[in-house]
Amino acid sequence: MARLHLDHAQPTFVPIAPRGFVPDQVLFGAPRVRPPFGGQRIARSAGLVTEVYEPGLVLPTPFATRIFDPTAPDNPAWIDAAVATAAPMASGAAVPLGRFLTEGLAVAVLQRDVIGTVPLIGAELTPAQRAAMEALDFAAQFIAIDQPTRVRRMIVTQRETGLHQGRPAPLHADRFMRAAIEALRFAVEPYEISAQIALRRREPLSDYVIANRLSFDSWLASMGVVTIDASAMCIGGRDLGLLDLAAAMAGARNVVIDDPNQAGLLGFCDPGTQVVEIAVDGWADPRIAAMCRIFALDWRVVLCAAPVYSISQPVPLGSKSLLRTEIDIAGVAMALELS
Amino acid sequence: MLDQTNRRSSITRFDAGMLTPVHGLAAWRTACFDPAAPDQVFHHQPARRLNTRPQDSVDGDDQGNDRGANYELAAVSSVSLAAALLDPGSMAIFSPALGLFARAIDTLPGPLQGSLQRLDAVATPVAGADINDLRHFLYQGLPSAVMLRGLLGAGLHVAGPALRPWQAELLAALGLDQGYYSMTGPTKFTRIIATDMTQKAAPSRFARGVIDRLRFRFGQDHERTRRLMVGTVPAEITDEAREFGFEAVDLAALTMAEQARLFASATAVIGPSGSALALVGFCDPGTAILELQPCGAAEDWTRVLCALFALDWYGLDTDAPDAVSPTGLDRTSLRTCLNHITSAK
Repeated sequence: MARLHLDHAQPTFVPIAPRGFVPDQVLFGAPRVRPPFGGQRIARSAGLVTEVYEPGLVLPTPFATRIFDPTAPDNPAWIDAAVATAAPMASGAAVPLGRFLTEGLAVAVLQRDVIGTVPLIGAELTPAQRAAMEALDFAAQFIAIDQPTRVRRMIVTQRETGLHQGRPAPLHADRFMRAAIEALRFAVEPYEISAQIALRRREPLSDYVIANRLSFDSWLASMGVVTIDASAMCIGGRDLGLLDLAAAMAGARNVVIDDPNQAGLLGFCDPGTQVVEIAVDGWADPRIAAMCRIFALDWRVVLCAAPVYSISQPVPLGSKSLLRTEIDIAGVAMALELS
Repeated sequence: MLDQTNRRSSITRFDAGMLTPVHGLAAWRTACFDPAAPDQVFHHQPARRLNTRPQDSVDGDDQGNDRGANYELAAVSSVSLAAALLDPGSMAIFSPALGLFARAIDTLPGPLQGSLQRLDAVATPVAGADINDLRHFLYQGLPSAVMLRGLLGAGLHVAGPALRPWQAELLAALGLDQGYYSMTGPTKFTRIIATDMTQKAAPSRFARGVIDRLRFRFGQDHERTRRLMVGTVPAEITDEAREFGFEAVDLAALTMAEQARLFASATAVIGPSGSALALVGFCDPGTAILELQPCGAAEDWTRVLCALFALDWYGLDTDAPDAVSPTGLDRTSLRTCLNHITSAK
């Protein structure tokens, strides 16, 4: 049982695409595509609750917290935290930067106002995560752990999304995700590497092979769009620091993005920035659209045609995935108003 | 009474663009705390164009609703001014080298009142000239102070006049009440750090960082189901709105925390243009805001705020010159409007 329970916000919904999925205004790409998200124009906004457990258990990777039962048999893999009170934080290489900023770090910023400065505990920070912590003056209070750790008093602020079909509903976007992003954004001066940036994964979408990926990359470069790989923190072949990334995003007026895990990074863009999401027909992940609404960005989506395939068909030789699709370059050009 | 600034005609003005820019967070921190550093500026955001086009036209006046759909958000910069003076009466900032920091104040202040004090500290003002205006304090003054404090740490003191209870409550909620320097007269600080967020304009993006923190701090105690009417709403609108489940609320007796929680519980809010809608920033994204705009008195402030905070803004132009005169709206169009904003939720 929690010793303390504070309700900061209750779960609700965020409307997305406020003017609707209007073809050639919001929706671009192959003809006869279905509206994304099954035509639903709302995304989930999580509730936020703070609870105090005495004691608690923190698992660094994958990140999880548990109420610790003192009567349970001792596990030799568990260690005791060096501090009596700590707030767990989802961190480490398994947590994409966009998620770290909008979930773990945002909660730390919010907690500081309510409960003051408390030690934070989580998996070893990546360099970008550490840079964010340093910029917001959290680095000195972070304790890295690499195995399950008992904390005498654990302060947990967590999102509650409710249940969807009997399972915890996925997290989309909520207003509290802005807390750390706005603070970090205030710390940087926009630097226009290019007014047009593509925030893309180095590898294709995990479930799909993008047949014309090289063509698309070449087209982007020819149009002056600079590609940033946020998971590798690099731009072209050069490494990128977190504040450099924030400054580059702040300087952009058009952003192409294909990875919902990095949607939080869009928050560095200034209001009114045009965001073009690349997804596949039948797309059901509204995180990028919801993040655009939360940060007052102008969201558009280009849908690639969904492939038709036989369920018994083997994976083609040399391919990692059965599903193949193509990015509609003309659609992206229209969405970016470059054509 | 001081005489060194009484000769108003001799006061020069300056803005952030006239100072030497510093680049990078480390350099900015040095510019703020190094006693030998010259007056400098750090640019946070250039002017940006924001599309504030409403969700739909509900007043039969499409042209009116599209008025000023593209709004230019002002640039945001911070300045570091050595040996500068802050006047708590006008909240004007004077630099001995440059004159009056013009972006924070529209008109030249009158003679400074009270004896000049000196404080060996680096300080930032808690708000600008409109310190006692709720909209200004909440969305411009407070964000300026909170963001700078977050960036520069506890070495930056927040200063201003003796605060009213609602102002003190907001500062306390953000942990800024301890160490607040309550000024009794014009004070010369080692250095003043200020932003041009305190100028008269619509709020910047950075207001969100502060309002969201206050919203988290104040919490939520009621399910998000309420429809609110705030401020002076014309009687014919009130009567119709009640049939749609709207309740008139009196905010005067509530603390800031209670007001914030009330707005957090709303799915729709109706109110006249101006400070009555100041607290809609505490509403959750997607809340419908119906702004009643008397003819000839339309302003962009609430509309821009709604765009920045992901609220669904609707405008209802009335023929009334003010909030209490008959609106001239016919019942059918009014019901269409109310049905529209409530069915959207």
